[in-house]
Amino acid sequence: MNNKLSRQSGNFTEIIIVVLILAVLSFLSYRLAWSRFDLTEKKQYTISKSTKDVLHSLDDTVDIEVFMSRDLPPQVVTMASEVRNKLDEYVRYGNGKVKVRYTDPADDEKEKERAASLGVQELQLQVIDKGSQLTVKKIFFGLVMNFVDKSEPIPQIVDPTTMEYDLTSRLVKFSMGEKPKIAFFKGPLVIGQQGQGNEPQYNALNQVLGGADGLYEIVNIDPQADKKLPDGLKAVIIAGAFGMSDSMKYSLDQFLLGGGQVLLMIDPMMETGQQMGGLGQAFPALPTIEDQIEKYGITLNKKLVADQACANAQFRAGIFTLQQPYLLWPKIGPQGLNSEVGPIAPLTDLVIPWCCPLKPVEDLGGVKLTKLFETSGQAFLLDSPFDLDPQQDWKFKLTTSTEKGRFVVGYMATGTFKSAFDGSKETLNVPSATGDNGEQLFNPANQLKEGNGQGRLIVVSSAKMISDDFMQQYPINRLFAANMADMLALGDQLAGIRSAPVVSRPLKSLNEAQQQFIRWSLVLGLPLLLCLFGLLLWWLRNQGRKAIQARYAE
Amino acid sequence: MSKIAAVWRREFRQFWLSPVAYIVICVFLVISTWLFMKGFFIVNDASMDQLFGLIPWFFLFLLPALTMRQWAEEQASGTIELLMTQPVSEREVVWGKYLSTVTLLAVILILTVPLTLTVSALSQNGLDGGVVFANYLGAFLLGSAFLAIGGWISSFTRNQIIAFILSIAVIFGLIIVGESMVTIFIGKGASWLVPALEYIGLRQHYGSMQRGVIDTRDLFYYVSVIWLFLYLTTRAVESRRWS
Repeated sequence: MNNKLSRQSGNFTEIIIVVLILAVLSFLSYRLAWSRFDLTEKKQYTISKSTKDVLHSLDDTVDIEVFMSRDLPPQVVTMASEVRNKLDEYVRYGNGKVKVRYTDPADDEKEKERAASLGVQELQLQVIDKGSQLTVKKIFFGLVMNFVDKSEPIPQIVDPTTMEYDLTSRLVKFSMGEKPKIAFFKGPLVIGQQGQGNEPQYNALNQVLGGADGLYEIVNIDPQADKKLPDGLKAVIIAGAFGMSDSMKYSLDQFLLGGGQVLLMIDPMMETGQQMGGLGQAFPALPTIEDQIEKYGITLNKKLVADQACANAQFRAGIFTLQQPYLLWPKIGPQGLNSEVGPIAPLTDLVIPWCCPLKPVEDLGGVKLTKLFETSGQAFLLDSPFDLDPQQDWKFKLTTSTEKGRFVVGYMATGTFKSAFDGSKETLNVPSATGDNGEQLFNPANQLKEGNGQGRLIVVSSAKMISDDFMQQYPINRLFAANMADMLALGDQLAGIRSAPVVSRPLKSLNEAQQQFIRWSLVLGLPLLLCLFGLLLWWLRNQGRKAIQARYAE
Repeated sequence: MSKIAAVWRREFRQFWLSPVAYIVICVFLVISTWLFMKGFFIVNDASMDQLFGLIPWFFLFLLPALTMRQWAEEQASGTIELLMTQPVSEREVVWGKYLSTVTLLAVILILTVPLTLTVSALSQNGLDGGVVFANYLGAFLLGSAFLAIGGWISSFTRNQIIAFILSIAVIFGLIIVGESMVTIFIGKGASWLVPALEYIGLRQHYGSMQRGVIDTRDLFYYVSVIWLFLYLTTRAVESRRWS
């Protein structure tokens, strides 16, 4: 009896010791030795190469102080864990130049004041208290980055998926003297709708790039009043070139030749009126800057691209609002995106409404052209006048179209450009323009005929894709525009850091009968095969048993 | 090792000779595929998230059905005495029996591969292979942990039904202990306990693998849980010698 009791107590003690050892090992593995392997296609949960490069180039220590309450409500605990994981990666790749410390101001009023003075405010969250009542809980969930004598707060961490951009863009800011300037240029686009309040708006992009958290100083250009680009620009973004004066075109030419970076989004069509449903007829847009960009190596073929791989559009039909695939809004899938170009790499798809094909000019000199995106192989072209009705007979249009296949709708030209205003070769000359005080804005003697720096021109045949409406409907378009601006103004430093949305993987089109067949084959097919296998085994065993019985019966 | 293999062979063969394995696998395949396919074409998104999101709950009921007879039946029929007189140690028998259920779990997961391949073929952009792999690994580790717990509970009782119900209750408890509905409640009084409970929660560690991230801490957690419950099962079987 004593022997049994002693064995039981010994056994119990051993179990307790084993559990304690496991608990200690778990704690150590949790705190010290661990690594993560991000197997997602777009490495959604790993810091990007650009961030690693920025961390590698740090020449002084960045001190990150995270103000995080210990007593976090459960809905924030998981987010806090993601934030810690992300910061751990910054420390790991920071080669000792990134230090992170966590502070919980708790009830210490001095610490609270210090956090507030650094830009991190106490947040108020609704939680359920002990009496199952909704109450307000105050927490700290923000951070401050300190670098030499500069300080940048993230007042509240709202979304861990955007945290890498928030952190790395601030690191880049530390290394910059002042915010880079980007000229933002929008021309009136729709002749028939001018003054009716229907023109596309571009405020969202302006806000993303130049808002309170934006990295850039945005200089808005008035296409009619302004005659020359201001000095000190890092990049120019043009959303619709209609209405651009000759002097502004010349200024743009010289900017590009001087190694400037330009993103030109140009609409190929202009609407002339509306019919019931909101979309009517359109014609090719009047010429604006097309001749000029042809000299840089890219031509616009002003026919509308219709693609069977397209996004859905909402439109009115009588009293109903319908949603259906709209072939004039091509959706560029991963196969059509050139993922070798930094800003394109994190994209999963893009919606490019009412676009036209772009073609390269054969004799490009020192300019190199790179395809950015092209439609699917199921695309075809529509001739003028363009019928924009989503409910038109698309099959008929496809059959009668003479041009089918893949069409490039975005190009990047890089290199040393030749001036489109070179009087010795072309009819265009240096335009005469005077400033407010009557002075000549351009001096022909200072004209650049050939580029003296590596310029970059990106042409996309749709300006509407970055308008407020489209960026709201398709956040991936916002990501594209923001990534492009980062590349143009900062080089590849921030390329691909902005968080990419989850990859969309739509299904191939199947009719109802095909869907039912696949559904029932999968639901019943394998279980039936398994049952047959079981029956076969049972029959074989039965046969074996019978054979044995027969043998011994003899 | 060869003794573990011998036990494994005996047990694995036993599964296919009884209707239990067929019922478990067929029920799992029909229900999971049906639920998955129900809204698949309407959602129009080629993703396996829905299947792998449901897997812990399927496993909660199906895997105890595989482990309930592991020791309970041996005790009820008295074959455990015979087994223990064989020249194999308790540890080898425990591991052999456990590996046989794990192999069956692998077969169950392999039988979902045709569904995954079909979804990939139906997708315009294919599937994210890395995420699918992480999902399968997570499901395998989670199921293996369930099997270790179920086997331990089966070693306590002669009654298979009791083993089945107790296994579900214990596994369910270990799942929900880390879920927000519990941590919110616990957090009201003892918020310092929340991280520990989240660490213990069986499904919490499955979450990151479902996203496509494999963290060595999650691997360590599952390996520890499996090892701990197999150790406890060995101890429970050994204790029979003294009684």
